Amino acid sequence: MAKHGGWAGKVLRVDLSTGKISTENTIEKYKDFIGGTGIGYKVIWDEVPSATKPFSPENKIIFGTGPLAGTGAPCNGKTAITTLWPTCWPKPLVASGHMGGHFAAELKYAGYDAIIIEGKSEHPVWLSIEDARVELNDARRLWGLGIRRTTYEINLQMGHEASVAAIGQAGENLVPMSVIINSVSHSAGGGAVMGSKNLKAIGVRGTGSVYISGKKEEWEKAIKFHLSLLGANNQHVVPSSPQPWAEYYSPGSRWISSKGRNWEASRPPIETGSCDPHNLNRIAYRSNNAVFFLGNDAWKYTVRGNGCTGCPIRCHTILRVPSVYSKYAIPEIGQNTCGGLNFGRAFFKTFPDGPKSQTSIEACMVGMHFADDLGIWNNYGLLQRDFQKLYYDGILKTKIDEKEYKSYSWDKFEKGDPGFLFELLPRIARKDGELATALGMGTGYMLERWGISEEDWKKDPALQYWKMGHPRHHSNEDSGQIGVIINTQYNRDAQCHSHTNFIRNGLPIEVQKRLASELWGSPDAVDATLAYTPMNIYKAKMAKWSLLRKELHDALALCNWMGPISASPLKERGYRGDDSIESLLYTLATGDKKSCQELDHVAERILLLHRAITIRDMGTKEMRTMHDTIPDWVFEDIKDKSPFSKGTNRMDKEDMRIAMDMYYEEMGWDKKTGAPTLETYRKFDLGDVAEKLKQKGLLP
Amino acid sequence: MIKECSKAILDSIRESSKSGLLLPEKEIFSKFTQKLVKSHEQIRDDAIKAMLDEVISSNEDITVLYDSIYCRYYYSALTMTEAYARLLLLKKENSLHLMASIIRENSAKYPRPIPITVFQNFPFELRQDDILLCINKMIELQEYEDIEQVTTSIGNLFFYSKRYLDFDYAMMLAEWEDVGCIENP
Amino acid sequence: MIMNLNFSRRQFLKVSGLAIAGISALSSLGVTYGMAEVIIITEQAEGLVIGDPTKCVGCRRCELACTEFNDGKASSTISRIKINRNLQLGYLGLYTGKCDEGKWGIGLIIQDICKQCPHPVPCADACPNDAIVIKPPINARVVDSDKCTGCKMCQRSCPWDMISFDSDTNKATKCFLCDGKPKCVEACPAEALKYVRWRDLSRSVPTRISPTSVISQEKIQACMGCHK
Ligand code: SF4
Ligand code: SF4
Ligand code: SF4
Repeated sequence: MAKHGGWAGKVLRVDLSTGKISTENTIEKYKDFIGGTGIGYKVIWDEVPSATKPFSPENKIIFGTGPLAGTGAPCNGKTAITTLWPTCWPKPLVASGHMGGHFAAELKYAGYDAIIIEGKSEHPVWLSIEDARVELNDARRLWGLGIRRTTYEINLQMGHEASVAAIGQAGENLVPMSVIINSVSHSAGGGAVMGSKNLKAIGVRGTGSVYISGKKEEWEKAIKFHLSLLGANNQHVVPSSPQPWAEYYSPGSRWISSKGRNWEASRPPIETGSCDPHNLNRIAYRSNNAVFFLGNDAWKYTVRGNGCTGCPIRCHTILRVPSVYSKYAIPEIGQNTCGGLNFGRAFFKTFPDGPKSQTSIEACMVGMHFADDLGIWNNYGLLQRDFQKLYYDGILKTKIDEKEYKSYSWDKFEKGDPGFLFELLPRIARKDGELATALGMGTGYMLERWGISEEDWKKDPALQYWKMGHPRHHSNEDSGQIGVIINTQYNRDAQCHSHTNFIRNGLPIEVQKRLASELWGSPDAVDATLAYTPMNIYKAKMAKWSLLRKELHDALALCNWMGPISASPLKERGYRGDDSIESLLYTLATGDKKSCQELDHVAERILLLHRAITIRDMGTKEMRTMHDTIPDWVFEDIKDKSPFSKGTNRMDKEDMRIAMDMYYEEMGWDKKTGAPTLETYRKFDLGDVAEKLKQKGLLP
Repeated sequence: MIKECSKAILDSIRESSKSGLLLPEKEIFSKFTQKLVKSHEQIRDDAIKAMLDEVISSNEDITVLYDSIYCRYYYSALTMTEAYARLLLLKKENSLHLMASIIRENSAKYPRPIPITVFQNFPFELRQDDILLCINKMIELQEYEDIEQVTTSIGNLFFYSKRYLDFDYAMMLAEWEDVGCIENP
Repeated sequence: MIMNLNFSRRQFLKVSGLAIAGISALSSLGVTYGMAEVIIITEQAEGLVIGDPTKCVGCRRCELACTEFNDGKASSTISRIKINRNLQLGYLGLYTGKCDEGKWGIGLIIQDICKQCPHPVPCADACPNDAIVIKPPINARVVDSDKCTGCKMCQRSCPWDMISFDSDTNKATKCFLCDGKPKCVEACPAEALKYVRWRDLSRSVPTRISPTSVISQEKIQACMGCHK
């Protein structure tokens, strides 16, 4: 038995250039970074020199799970994929994506906490992991196939239980906007990095166990406690319509089950019903993201929920839409969650029958059909917004030649005919033509290629473009300055949901403020949406907490789309969640006793290392001005309402300056440069990291 | 007999709460008077009343609510919240009053405007035409002069009370919920 | 109450033709017998877990509850309810060309659950060590791990492939209905599992594998004792 529970104990290292396969001891080498992104950043810092290009053999791609992956801890399906991010502009920097599904659990059962892929194979290969048996297999016959077919063929060889993470044609063709997908619909970026290494897929089958260190009775109690605090998707804790058991409701909640609302495409249909939060056997009926995003018509097509290992929420909805088979000859069944459901429909400005119509659902089906087989990424919706802007502003016409322009049916596009996606999406994956190639590069590189200034993109608030080639992801629209701070920190769109899950949880502002004062020291940490107040220290604390919990979740392999448990649906608890649930689960699973402060300390070390890699690879310590930038639209309002008046997301420049000061102060980073200080690195046992940065003059 | 009957009253209140309904006093009377008459006992309304009082005083979860003409309704807090019980009561009153109360409460408490779908969906289940009719009536009536509406960019109607939200604020909140939240999952 | 029927050959010959003999409730509690004594289960189980595939959302929380709360470790391989193997490509799967179920098909996920077979109980009868016994009061067919030698004969004999093998303990393990409080049922977030009064599903559910049925000489004789 492993010395620690939770961890599988080994990290697998596969050198594709030499074919060498080896293992490392997770505890000895990576325990201080827990797992997930922690292992990813550590490898990038230690082993990938700055100035490495994403597609060069020297880049590495790390598939990291964590000690809670594969256990019964709710919502533990994530594999963090860390690498040099090919859409990060103007210079690729470290970033990570988060792939759900069943890959993480299977990898743990096979005996590994992470896989480090390095080098480049001479010809296409796929990696098979069957417990201790790890092999590279010829993938020349798989090359050119979509993700579906690839998965099928690998399962044929490895058996039904194997989980397969594969790239499609987009990844093979080194389209930077590409993903890796397992279990039908669970994706994360980095497809082209795998493609550049000639690695088509990883199939994993594990027959072992993940051990729980604590007493099984205590573990059972902890799990049930955690489950009792869960809400619906995104930890929304009130239902969307009044329910007998509920005191509150919120039409914007993802808890949309109700009497009379059925999974109608199930045979026979199944009623979602009232779903009292005390009934833990009905958690899976609370959310239906297809309905949430596509509208009430989607009930007709709902077969059921689906999702990752061990997660009762089921944010991926399986849909059966027979009309797409007759109209487009694509499968009538499809599944995905938010971004994936929106993928196809978001290209179109209008549909003939309205925004949440039958046609929009068909566009969703066509979009999923292509995106999840070719393996295309949407950059959190920026791909689609870019496309609309390029077309409707007439930019596109000036950038591609007439012949190519005419090869697209623009009338179909304008009308909102999903058939248009048949023309566009496969071409993106094939880099076929100027338009498709440019779109596939990601926004930053596309603009550069076409000689458009980034400033132009930053000026248009409709694009929601933030920086470095990526859009905002829960910024000022989600919690004022807190969201802004969070959005300055990463090298892709910020993947942090800690703050938005709280802000959108559906409780009245008074209750939110009460919870906020318990969590972050003052009710002033949160504002009502669109009624922001000037910056204060508690907001800085909440921003820091949000980031740390994101990193902690990514390291433990918990889903930050469902955590932290900052509120609960339970009236008898005063709607309190439990801030220390991560520490409870971590301690019981691993046997390594850590309080929630101690875990946050580790999370801060991980975030700090991410910062250090970014500083090293940017070659400057001037993070405040060069990296942590805020687009101008944050400081504007269409009606020119002044900042902090009701009804605007507009922030104030001076106030945001104070906000960043407070944040840097909370983090122990130099306020002038935004770079962490030597003391701070030392405090988190990253003195050696600081030394290296010092040699390069990158300490403040 | 009395004991049995109290128990049956208690059960029927809890049962109806469980299925999401209030139990009107009238119903209790008619149901249990009949029952007792059958058992050939002389029973008067005040005996049932006494039993009801007994049920309330000895069971913390049983709560009574009054409607506008002082009719009594019972529910059990074990399976129904007060908020929901009050809402059911409102539902029994005229739709104008119902809608205005819901709109005001949302504007004051959360704060937010609410989409028309709230009234179309469970538990209100009003028809769109009826909702619009109500809203149009409200415009003419002094007591509802605070109720306002906004339309989002994708054409959906939201309602709010201007006592608590001004137009811009309501507009932006509606747009955020209807469009923003979907585009920013 | 009659529990496991323990037939010693000598005893059996003596009483053959008479009523059932050699009854002991202790057998399931770990009392070992010589090679000459055999256990034939004739009692029916009291309970059964059944699954509703139309509701299963493939979360595997049942597998996790089964193993974490009973064994203190998470593992779908030793789980005594089986989701993972049908999850992606369906029950019949790739090799029959019928992979239209599961996540990659129509989304139907079939839970594989032990049928708590009636007499003759294939797994128990195949066990050369009499390690599969019934456990009162539910009479679930359970592996007596003290007797199990890890030979995997039971695994090959269950037509539904419901015997798991724990490579840590080197013992077989199977659904024991959690002594009447099934953890899997409690864990399911979709009400897709139910704990019901036993009924015979062994004739209704298509088998999954062609079992290798090897019954020891002693057991055959015991069979013939009753079925002359
Ligand atoms: S393991 Fe198989 S043979 Fe044994 S009782 Fe269960 S279903 Fe029947
Ligand atoms: S009843 Fe118990 S032993 Fe049987 S499958 Fe369910 S959890 Fe496992
Ligand atoms: S817990 Fe329920 S829904 Fe989840 S896999 Fe098991 S049977 Fe299916």
